[in-house]
Amino acid sequence: MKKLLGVTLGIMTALGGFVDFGQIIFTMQAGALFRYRLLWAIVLGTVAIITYMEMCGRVAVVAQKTVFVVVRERLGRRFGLVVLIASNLLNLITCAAELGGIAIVLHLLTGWPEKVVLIASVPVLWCTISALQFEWIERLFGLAGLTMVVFAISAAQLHPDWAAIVGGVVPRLTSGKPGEGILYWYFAVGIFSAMLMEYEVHFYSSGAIEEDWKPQDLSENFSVAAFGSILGAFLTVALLALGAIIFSPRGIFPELLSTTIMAGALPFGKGGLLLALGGTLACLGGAAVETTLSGAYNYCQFYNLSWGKNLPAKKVPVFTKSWSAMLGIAMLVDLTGVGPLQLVNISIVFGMVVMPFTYYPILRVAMDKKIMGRHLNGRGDTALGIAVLGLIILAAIAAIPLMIVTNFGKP
Amino acid sequence: MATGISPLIHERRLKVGGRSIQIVLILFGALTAGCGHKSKSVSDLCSDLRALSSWTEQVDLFIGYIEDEKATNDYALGHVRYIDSEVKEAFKDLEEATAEPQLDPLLRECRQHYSFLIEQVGRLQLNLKNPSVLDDIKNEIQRIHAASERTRAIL
Repeated sequence: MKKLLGVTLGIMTALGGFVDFGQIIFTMQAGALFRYRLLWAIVLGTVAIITYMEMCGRVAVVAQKTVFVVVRERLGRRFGLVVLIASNLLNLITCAAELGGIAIVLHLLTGWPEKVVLIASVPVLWCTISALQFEWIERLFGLAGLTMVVFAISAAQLHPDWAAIVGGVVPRLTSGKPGEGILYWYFAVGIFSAMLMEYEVHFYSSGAIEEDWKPQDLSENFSVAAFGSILGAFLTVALLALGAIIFSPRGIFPELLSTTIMAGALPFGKGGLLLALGGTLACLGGAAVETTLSGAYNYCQFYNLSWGKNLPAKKVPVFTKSWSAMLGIAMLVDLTGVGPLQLVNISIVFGMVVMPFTYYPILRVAMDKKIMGRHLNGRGDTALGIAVLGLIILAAIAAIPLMIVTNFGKP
Repeated sequence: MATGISPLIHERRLKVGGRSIQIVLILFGALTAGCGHKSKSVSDLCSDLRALSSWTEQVDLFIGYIEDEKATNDYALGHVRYIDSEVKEAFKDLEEATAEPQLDPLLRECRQHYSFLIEQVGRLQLNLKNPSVLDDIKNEIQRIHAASERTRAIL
């Protein structure tokens, strides 16, 4: 049973990463604009995140080195610090976007003013993180996030074009729509980036240490990473399909979270709508917790300070203060009135730029025989890791020009 | 895992940290810059009209959803308020925008379509449970949609 529940680390990591505020809207927009033509980007992103999630889990277990220990050692203290600041700024922006999304969902559920539910939800999240051990945090958000499956059921009920879905797995260089090639690539890079958001590996590698995985647990590491990511990808495909089925024929470009939630509940009655709202709330909550804790993990690991969600707060004062501060500052960002979608757009592009500096050190350590011993990368792992890193670098170079030319993906 | 930090190392860390923060903030600033208002080009106007069509279709879809009694009261009211806020923001952007003389009539037409849409979304907020008014709003929305498509065709 414990082993079975262990998979929730992968589920929470992937759902928090794949099905967060940005991904829900972004993927449905991609489906609305290009139907199933960008499905290949989801497949590619899934392969990439499984590759690196497994790798950083293995490095954490064998070498007892989490992502930011590896970043500091491989990139040096000075450049490592730039990566730390950039990554935590990204975590903060993403966390603020998720909190903004939580406030929207709670407003839609209760009718209470958005700012009131935002201010009320942050202490609830703070108490949840404080009170629960790491395992229970991942179980709570991982399992609650599974209610998002209502989006997949909704997509299946609306009779998707299965042949087009299969066809979408094959990468295409053009959108099939004249004059929208650049927009197509903006969304391709955005989907790929959102699936590889750095906080997923920050959280996953720290989680492996929190859960005290041993080298004998490494076979589970792959299944946890793969199962969670495939589930996240399955839901992402469902979001794309909903965009293709509901919004594309009507020429709708969904820009509101409430519109995308309606798509997830369209074939059902009020119960379906409540389930879709609940599932979205769980995923956004999971992503908010993931980014909050990742910020604290990164800081403490970089400076070699004590950290751990399972340790008493008094023994890890900096860690506790760091994640509390992340949550508090993120809430303040939201209270300034910046829209969550604007934050998400920035985080997706900004995340892509920082990404190579997170993934490259992981690959280097996973290839290092002195550190990894018999658990070092096989030839296949290394080849796949290099290929994925190459794509990440290409996407990182293209991200900002695409963002500028398309005005943040505006059709 | 905790380590003691000497004042010298601490000072050096702060210096390096300060420079690193500057680099990141410059990069971040560069990323978020360039969001100011500008003169509307043909493609900008096309994009605004496309967005208008998208909003009219969203409202139409939403009216169907509430007519089927699938939405809770809080969701319906919340959703229509979000639509209202977004459409008003787009309208504000159009009001502040300028266009070259030959595009000016089309910009004014575009503003007018948005203004009609705002009016209908306002009515929708007040009549979420009134089927006869909902039907009328639906018809008006379809008219706005058709008109915006005609304007887009000129472009």
